[in-house]
Amino acid sequence: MTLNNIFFDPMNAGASEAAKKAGAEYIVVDARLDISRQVDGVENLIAQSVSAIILNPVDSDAIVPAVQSANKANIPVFTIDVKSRGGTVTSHITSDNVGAGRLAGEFVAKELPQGSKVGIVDGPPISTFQQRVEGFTKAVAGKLVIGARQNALQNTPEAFTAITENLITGNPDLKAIFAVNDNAAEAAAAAIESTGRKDVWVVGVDGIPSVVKTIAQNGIIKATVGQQPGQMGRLAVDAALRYLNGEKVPPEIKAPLELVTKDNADSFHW
Amino acid sequence: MPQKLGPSIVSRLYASGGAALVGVVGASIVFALSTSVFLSTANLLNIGRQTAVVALVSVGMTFVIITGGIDLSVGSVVGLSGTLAAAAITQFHVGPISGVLIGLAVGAVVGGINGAFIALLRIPAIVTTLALLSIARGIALQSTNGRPISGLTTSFSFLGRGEIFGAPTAFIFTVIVYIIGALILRFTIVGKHIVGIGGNEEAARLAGLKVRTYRLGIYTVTGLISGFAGLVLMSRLGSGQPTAGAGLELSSIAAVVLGGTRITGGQGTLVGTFLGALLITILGNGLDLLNVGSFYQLVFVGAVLLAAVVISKFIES
Repeated sequence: MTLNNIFFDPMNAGASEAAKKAGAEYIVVDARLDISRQVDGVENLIAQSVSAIILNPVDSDAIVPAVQSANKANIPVFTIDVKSRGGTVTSHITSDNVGAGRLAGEFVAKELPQGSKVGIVDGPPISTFQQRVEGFTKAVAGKLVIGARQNALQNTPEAFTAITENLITGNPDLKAIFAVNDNAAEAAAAAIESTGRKDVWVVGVDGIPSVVKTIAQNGIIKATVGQQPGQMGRLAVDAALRYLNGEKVPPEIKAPLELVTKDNADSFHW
Repeated sequence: MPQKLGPSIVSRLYASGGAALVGVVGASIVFALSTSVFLSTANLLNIGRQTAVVALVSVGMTFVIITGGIDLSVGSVVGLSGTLAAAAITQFHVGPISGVLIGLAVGAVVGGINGAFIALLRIPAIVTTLALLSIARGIALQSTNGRPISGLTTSFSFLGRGEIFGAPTAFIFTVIVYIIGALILRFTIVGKHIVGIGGNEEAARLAGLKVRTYRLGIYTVTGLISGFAGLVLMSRLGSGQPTAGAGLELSSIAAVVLGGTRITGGQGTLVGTFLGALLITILGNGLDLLNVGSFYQLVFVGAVLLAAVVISKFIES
């Protein structure tokens, strides 16, 4: 996984805590969002003959060879958040990204009049974002019109800011923006602010602390779908330990999600 | 001058950004006709804001490339200066002016280190600046634990989000930096020396030019300007982002080349670079307005770059 990240750190903490409680040894390899580094890391873990590998893939496709190497070494693989598109994964722990997009879509559809136009600030093509967009699109189908959608090529505020500026300028009738994560939501809010528009608001996904705070203060971001990364880390370690004990574990384990609006923003945290 | 006798008007026009000008005008006409908002005030402000950072970085890159060098560290310098300045302001409570000075100093120091290795130790620029790309990014990530630094007061939003007489502050500052740079390059003896060094370094040295001093100075100034670009971006994003500026080295090199500067040095103008940076921004903006996917856009920008280089090849021969 990648460390020093506001989302992955609680995930790491949850996993490490669960391992400690069970008396298992826990080794973490920091991929730093770099897929080749991550593949190296998996190979190093295989060389150390670990009992199980929990992966938070940087890229769904590029991780496949690493998963296959672990399979060959008979080490069970568990993935968190992002799937591997190949190899054998014993269990995948996910926030149900389609569900997150659906929750966001249902909220927007409830807030806006029938037939309103909304935009999507999408990210680089990873399965997490694609599933969120899929869930959102399904939830608003027949209720709202998706007037515009653009992919940021990098998962960075710079990229999200520029495409949001262009999106709302090119489509002045957009009433709301669905941002594929909270970084994008914050960048979109900043872009809306700098263009001086007052009639557009944003919904994000993740529940990062600064966005939750904005929501509580009635900001441009009206809601986010909060994930529970610590819970995901715990669920992954629990699944790995149960499997190693000979128990059966389901191929997919869904971590709980929570829609955060100004009504419950004060009580939500990672 | 190393140039062959009597460069034709066409090649001179190309070298001062003629192709980029044609590109900017052509693209603007296409986008103005195909969208209703391209020429709207709101969108022109968008273009101004979106051009500033890449255009600023490209000023230094132009000087570097004219002298036959390259600077791959500019994007990392943008990230480092923004994060350290943001950290100084939010965590050590220095005032906004000290914050700006810290950001500029960070840029100048990294640039100076580049210059020292390249000019004094004669390490190839591509290797030196590749190393600094990694070092500066590493420091930015490590010193912030990889997290954005938020909590900048609104007094700092002026540089990246503010407006002066209805134009984005960032764009005005960018234009000022271009005017100063262009005057130096075109009308001063320093500018002539810089072009001379790029044209034929050996001849310049024999003529008594302090080539090492020039190189040291150029990399330092490039770092300084990148540091300033980092402050602009930090202000625009309202936070110090340790990953900010990633990839800027590539887009600024593209802007310089589109602007007619010869990639092997000895020839180039800042007017051209400005148009090159503007062209890259306008293509991104206009294609976004047309809802053209950003994956297509990558293909398109690459094709434009290739076309510009092929045209220059034909004109030169």
